[in-house]
Amino acid sequence: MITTILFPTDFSIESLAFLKNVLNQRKDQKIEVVLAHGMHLSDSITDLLFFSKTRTLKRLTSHEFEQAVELIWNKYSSLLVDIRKEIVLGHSQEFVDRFIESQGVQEAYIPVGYKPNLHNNLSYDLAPLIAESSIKVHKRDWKGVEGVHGEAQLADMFFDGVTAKT
Amino acid sequence: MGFRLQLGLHSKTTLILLFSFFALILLFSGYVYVSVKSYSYEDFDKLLDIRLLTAARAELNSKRRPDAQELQERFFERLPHERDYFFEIKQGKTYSDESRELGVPESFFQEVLTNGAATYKKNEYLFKGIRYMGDSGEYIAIASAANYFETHHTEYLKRTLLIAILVAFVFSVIISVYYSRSVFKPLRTITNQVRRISSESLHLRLEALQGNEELRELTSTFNYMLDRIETSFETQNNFISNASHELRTPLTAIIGEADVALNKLRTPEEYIETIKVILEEAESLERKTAALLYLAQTGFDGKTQLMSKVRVDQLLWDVKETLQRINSKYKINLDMSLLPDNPVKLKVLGNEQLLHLALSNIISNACKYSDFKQVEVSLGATENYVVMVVRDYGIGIPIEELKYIYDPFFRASNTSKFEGFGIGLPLARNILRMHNAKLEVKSIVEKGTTVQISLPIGKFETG
Repeated sequence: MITTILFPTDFSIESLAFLKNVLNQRKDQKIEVVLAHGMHLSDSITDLLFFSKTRTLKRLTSHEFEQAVELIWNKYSSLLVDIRKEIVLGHSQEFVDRFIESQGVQEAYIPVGYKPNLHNNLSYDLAPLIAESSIKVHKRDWKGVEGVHGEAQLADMFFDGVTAKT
Repeated sequence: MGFRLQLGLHSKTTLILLFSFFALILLFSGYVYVSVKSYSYEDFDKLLDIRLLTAARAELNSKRRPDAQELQERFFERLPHERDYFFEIKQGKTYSDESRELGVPESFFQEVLTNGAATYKKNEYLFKGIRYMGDSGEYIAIASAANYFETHHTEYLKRTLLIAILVAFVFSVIISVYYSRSVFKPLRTITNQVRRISSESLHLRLEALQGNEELRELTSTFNYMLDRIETSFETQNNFISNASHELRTPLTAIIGEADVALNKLRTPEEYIETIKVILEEAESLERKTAALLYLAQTGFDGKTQLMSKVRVDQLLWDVKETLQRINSKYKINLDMSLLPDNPVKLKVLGNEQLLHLALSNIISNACKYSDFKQVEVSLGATENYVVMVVRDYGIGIPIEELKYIYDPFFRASNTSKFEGFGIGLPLARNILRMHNAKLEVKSIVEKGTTVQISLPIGKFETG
């Protein structure tokens, strides 16, 4: 049985630390992770014409983020089936509901108290819309990882208070 | 040959541009000329055909259409210098007189007789002949006319094209000279700027050029190279002054002690005390030179080190054990929370002794400069790298000094109360560089330092 779990993400290391925290507690057989980022479509007709999901994702994600995803992927390789990155291109409840349905999402986790870092002015916080959706939503208190040396970096993946279970 | 060699890239570009422009113009004008000319010939050819047929019909069928002659005179414009001739065909007749009169070869008549039609071109005149069945028998009808286009328009076309070629040539000269100048001007600027930079003025940088992507890249690459050269120059200078200082301190102590001891006769206890100090200082000197030697050995990859399969998690446990045996105050916490499920992801190709040395240097630095607070060592794996993170909550490194931390003998300004002589990190860096690893140090003063080491995962046949 594969459980598909949705996580709102701002493509920061911190959002992945939350993912790691959750995965650490799950006892499922197999998990498929969908990292979803909320975004408005641009008003510019040329932007719309040349819109590409792959390119947009590439622009939004940093090398560090990709590496951190690989870290998690390697850590939980027996638990995870896939880690997908998706963009939700619409800011309405109906749109998010349809997205959840089309992605086959069964559960979602929302970090309560975490303020997403939206660098892109088209991005928006997806968490409130997910919270209103019909699927099972787990809300977890999350104050974020304290990036010891300024902004959270790859290294901060390791230090989020999750104790080792080796 | 000599001429070619003397040409600069600038003149070459100009010439190449000019030649290609010119060749294009010539090709184009040639094509226009040839196609216009062939069209005018075909057109005239058809026109004369029609004229011939009309004239023959009017002349030879006049009985059937009495008004045809008049019609022809009235409505059909005659071609320039048009002449129509009609000769009756008689058996056995040669047309030598006629051909002489018309100025056409006899074979023309023969051709009309055998093929029923013939064409002959003489200067701008075109002759057309056909066999025509008139009312009173069969005739050879011949029409000749001057090709008006040939006589008038060709000259005009030639002149126009020539002027066009000249004008276009002048334009292409201007364009190619201007273009090649605008392309090579920034290059010349760069050359002049680079000329100013010598080993004494390494701080100078090239100005960023506006609007030229490739050249801006060149200048920034060049500036980046200058950055590195400047840093390594400084490192070199720092190294010599630091090294001589480090080696001189124990030597001064030894000389001072010996000097004082030799001033007058002393008790054996005093001698023992002096020799103890001297021994201590000499040992310190020995440690420094040994470390220096190690650094030199790892710095030059003249000889290849023996590489084998190393499991990084095992290595970290070893390092931790060794360090805690040396100093029981070290608190090292190995965090394996992101340890990959698959052990293949933990195996690297490396020299275990050297990696052990590098890691223990980094981790012991972390312990030392944080007053033996807890040091976190974490391990994880990405697609191609084993990532190790060593984090302490110690004194940190001032940001402006971060770029010097790999210099041998360099010690940050806030480390005076700690022992050490600045060989450990450069040594670790050299070792990691030998393993194609990446070493990143991030630090905030009074908060701590994070060292991230990424070792490439070894590609082995079997897990």
